[in-house]
Amino acid sequence: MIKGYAVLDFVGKSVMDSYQGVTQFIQLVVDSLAEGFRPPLRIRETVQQLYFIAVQSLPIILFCVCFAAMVTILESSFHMKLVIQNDSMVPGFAAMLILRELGAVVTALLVTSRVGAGIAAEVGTMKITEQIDALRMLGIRPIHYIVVPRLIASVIGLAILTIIANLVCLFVAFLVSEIYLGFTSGLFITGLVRFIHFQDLVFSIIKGACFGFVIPLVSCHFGFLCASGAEGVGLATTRSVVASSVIIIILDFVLSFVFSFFS
Amino acid sequence: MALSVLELKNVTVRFNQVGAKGTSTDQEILKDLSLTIVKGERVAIVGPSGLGKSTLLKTLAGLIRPTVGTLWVEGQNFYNLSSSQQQRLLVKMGMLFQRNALFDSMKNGENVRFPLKETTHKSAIEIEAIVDQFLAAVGLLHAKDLYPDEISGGMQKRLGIARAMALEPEILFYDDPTAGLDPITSRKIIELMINLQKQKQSTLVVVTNDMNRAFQVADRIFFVFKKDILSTGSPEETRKCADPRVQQFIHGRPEGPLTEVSA
Repeated sequence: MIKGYAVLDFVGKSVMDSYQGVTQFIQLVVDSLAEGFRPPLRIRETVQQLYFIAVQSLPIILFCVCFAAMVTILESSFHMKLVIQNDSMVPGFAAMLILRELGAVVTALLVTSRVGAGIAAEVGTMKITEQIDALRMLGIRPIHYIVVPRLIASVIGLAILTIIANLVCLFVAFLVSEIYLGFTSGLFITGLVRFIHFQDLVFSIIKGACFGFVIPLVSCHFGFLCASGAEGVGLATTRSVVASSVIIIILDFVLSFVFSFFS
Repeated sequence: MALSVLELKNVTVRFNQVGAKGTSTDQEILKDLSLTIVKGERVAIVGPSGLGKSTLLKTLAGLIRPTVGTLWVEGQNFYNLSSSQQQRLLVKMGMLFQRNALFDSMKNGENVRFPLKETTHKSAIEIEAIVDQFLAAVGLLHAKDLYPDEISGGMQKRLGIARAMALEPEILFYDDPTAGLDPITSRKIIELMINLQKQKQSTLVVVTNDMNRAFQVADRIFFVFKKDILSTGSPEETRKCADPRVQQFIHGRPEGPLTEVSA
C-alpha cells in the first residue's frame, strides 16, 4: 500500500513538474518574442552569435551531410533494384528525400548537439554564478541580452545552413550516382527536374528556420532552470539536447504534414 | 520623519528547490517577516550561515519574489508595477554579489563600462572617464585590461563594488563583501564602501557573518534567525542585547542556544 502511494506521489510530482516546465517554456517564448521588438537592436551580439551558430558549424555539417547523402542515394538504389528491379528514378527520389527531410533535419540535429549544448552550458553557468541576477540589477533585461540575439541568429543561421546543406547533399548525390551508380549528368538532372520543385526548397528553408527557433529557446530554458554545481550544468546541457532533438523530430512531422497539403 | 526606501510587509519566501538529479523539495526560508529601511541608512544583516540572509537581501532587491507578502520600494508596491517601471527602480539599485557575479567573458574595464553603455545616454568619452574614475577609486586602474579570473579574490570584490557603484545607485546591496578576505583587506573594503556611501548619500544594506565588520559599517543591525528577524538595533544596542542567541553569535561561542537548535 505504501509502495502504491509512493508511485502515485512520484507520478503526481512528475506531472506537476512537467506542467510547470511547459508553462515556464511558453512564458519564455512569449517574453522572447515581445523582447525581440523592443529596442535597442543588438546587432553586434547577433552577428557574433551568427558566426558561432552558422559559420563555425558549417564544416561539421558539410562533413556529416555528405555521408548522409551518400547513404541516401545508395540505399535508395539498393531498395529500388530489390523491389522494382529498376533504379532509374533514384536521382529524383533521393533529391526529393534530401530536400524534404535530410538537409533540414540532419543540419538541425547537428546544430542542436553543437550549439544548443553550448548555449545551455553558457546560460546555466551564468545562472549559477549569479551573472543573470547581476544583469537584472544593472538594469539590463536578461532575455533581451541573452535570448534575443541567439534566437535571431539561430533562425537566420539555420535557414542559411539548410540551403547550403541541401546544395552540398545534392552535389554529393550527383557524384555518387555518376561515379558509382552509372547515371550520366543528364539523367540525374532530368530526374531532379521531374521530381522536385522550387517549393520543396522553400519548405526546407521554412523547416530550417523553425528548427532554428526551437534550439536556442529550449537551450536557454534549461540554462535558466539550471541547478547549482557542475552536475547541474551538465544535466541542463543533456536535457536541452534531448528535448531539442525530440521537439525537432516532432516538429518535422508536423511541418511535413502541413506541407503535404501544398504539394 | 525619515523616508522609507525599502519595506517588506509580512513576507514569506518558499522555494521549490530542484536538485541536480531533478528531485524537488519545498523549503521555507523566511516566514511572515517585516522590516523597513530608511533613506541614507546603513544596515547590516547578520546571522548564522544558511538561514536566509542572502535570500532576505535578494528579496529586498527584487530578485526573489516573496511567496506571500509585499515589497515596497520608494513607497511603491514593487510587484504591482509594470516591468519597465520595475526596471526604472532596479537602475536605482546596485549589488555586490556573494561570488561577485562578474562577467567573466569581459575584461575588468568592460565589466564597469558595459552597464553604463547599456543604461545611460552618456558619450563614449564620458563613459570612459567614469570607468577610470571608479576603477581608480577601488585601486584597479592598472588591471583595467585584465580578465576577472586574472586578478585576486580581493581585487574581484573591489571590481564588483566599482561595477555596482558606477551607475551611482541610490540603494546598494552588498552580499558578504568581506568573505574569504584577510582582515586588512576586509577593513579597507568596508572603509571604501562607507566613503562611497557618504559621498553619494546612498542607502547601504550589507549581509555579513563578520560581527566586527557589521559594527564598523552599520547604523542598525538585523539578526536573522529561524526565518525571522530576532533583533534590530544600533551596534551598541546589539552588543548589549540580552538574547543569549545574539550574544552567542557576537562572541562566536561554539556552545549555546544557536548550536543546540542547529544540532
